[in-house]
Amino acid sequence: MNRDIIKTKKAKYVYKASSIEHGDVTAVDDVTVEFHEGSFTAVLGRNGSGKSTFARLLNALLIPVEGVVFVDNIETGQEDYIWDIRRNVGIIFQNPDNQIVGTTVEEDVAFGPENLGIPPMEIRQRVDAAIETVDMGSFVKNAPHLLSGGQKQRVAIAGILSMKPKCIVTDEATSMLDPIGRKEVIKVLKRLNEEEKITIIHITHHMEEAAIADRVIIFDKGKLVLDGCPKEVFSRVKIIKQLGLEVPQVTELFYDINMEGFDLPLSVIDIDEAYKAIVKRLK
Amino acid sequence: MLRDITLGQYYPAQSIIHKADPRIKIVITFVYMIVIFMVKTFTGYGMVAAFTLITIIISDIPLKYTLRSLKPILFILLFVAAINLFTADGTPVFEYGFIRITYEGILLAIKMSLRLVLLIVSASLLTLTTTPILLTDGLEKLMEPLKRIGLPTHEIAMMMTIALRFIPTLLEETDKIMKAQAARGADFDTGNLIQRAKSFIPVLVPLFVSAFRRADELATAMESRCYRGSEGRTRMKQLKMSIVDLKIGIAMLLFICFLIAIEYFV
Repeated sequence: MNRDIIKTKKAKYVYKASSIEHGDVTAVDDVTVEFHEGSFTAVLGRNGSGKSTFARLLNALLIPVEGVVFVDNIETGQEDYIWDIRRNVGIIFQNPDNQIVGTTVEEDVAFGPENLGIPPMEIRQRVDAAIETVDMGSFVKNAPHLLSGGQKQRVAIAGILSMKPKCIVTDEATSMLDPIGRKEVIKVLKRLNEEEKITIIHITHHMEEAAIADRVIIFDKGKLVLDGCPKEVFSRVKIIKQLGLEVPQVTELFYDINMEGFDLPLSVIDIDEAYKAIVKRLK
Repeated sequence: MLRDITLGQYYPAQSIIHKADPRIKIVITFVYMIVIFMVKTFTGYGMVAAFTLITIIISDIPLKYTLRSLKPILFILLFVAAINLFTADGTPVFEYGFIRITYEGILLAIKMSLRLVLLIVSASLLTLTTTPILLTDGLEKLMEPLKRIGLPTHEIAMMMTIALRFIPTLLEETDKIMKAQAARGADFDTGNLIQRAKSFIPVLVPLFVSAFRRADELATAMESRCYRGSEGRTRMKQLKMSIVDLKIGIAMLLFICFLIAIEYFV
């Protein structure tokens, strides 16, 4: 059994009211969840369900007002360890343009390790390795504004990788990308998870991306409402629809067919499985 | 239309001047500009002009490209020349009504314009041969001693770097907003100066809003990547003085000594 890299206990976060008309907003409410080292978790939820706030709680950008968050057994509220926490848990943000600091790809990837005070020679090695890992080797000296969205996000991933993190959290990192860019980013994340054993917490709107995860958790109104492997979670089509979310297309199709009186398994989330299930049914 | 604006005026080439350490280039340019102010005789001017010309040739930058930097100051150049030409006392060469041109005036006008031209050309040689990012790094290093008197040198350099990083992004955005406003019937090209300036308000407002949002997100991203100011920070690229830099420095020093000797002691 793998140990837990991130643990939250009854974590709660409240945004203070900005004016009298708007009351305090509880963005994350009583969330207790743990992530195993080396796991790939997809986080789903409607806009405003608290996903992004949750992500920011995981690397001490925000500190829970109630409850605790542990990263590698360190409580995020401890200021002395804040840089260890942030080095271990990197966040990829939604807008690819607004997280690149350097004027060239390599300068940007070097930003993290430079902040950590790593010797120049080692930074060079880490930067080269990280850029190679995300397949950006031929863009080392490019200016960031000349890259595509998917490439920018891969640079952002490399920028986190050069800090040698244990966990990468993506805060809707694919939502501003075109389908090709999205695929590139997912491919890199999947590979990092499998080869480098980096824990991935992937916040997304795309059910197809959630389907490839080991585990799916769903947020609604700041609370964690569903948690399980993708097949389990998506087979609860009715609940998911009530939460304002969708299920993968084949699951949706099976659900509709079942409404007509058939009995197809709803735990099917990809096309191959769907094909097999239908063939089995027809025999 | 906004895509034509190039960042800085760096001219990529492989000359030894391009490769020289930015710190030595900044210091040399600074000293050189002071020297230009000290020169008084035509011999001196000739030498400085020749030296500048040789530097341009070594730097592999087309002369035309270097002289382009003079365009914006053409008016000032003419103005300075005219003032010197018409106001200096001395032996008159030409007289008509209240206009009086003296021999001394002509000489002064030539010297003053030459001084301005040399100043601008030598300053632009620095920016032509050094990338903005190296320039920033060099400035940060040079300003380091000022940290002790409380000047936030690292922060200044970081702000310059971020500005350089975001200029193209914001230009693209301006272009996008202008197109969006044009699609809604905005008119940027007709009317007098004031009307045109006013028509840019619907572009500037969203641009500012977006710039603030970007700044906010960038700050969060930087914090999340362990940024905590200059304390304990290292750099991947270290500026290194090479033998060539030393030689350039010595060559410059010799030239200045030689020039001063000729100017003041001959």
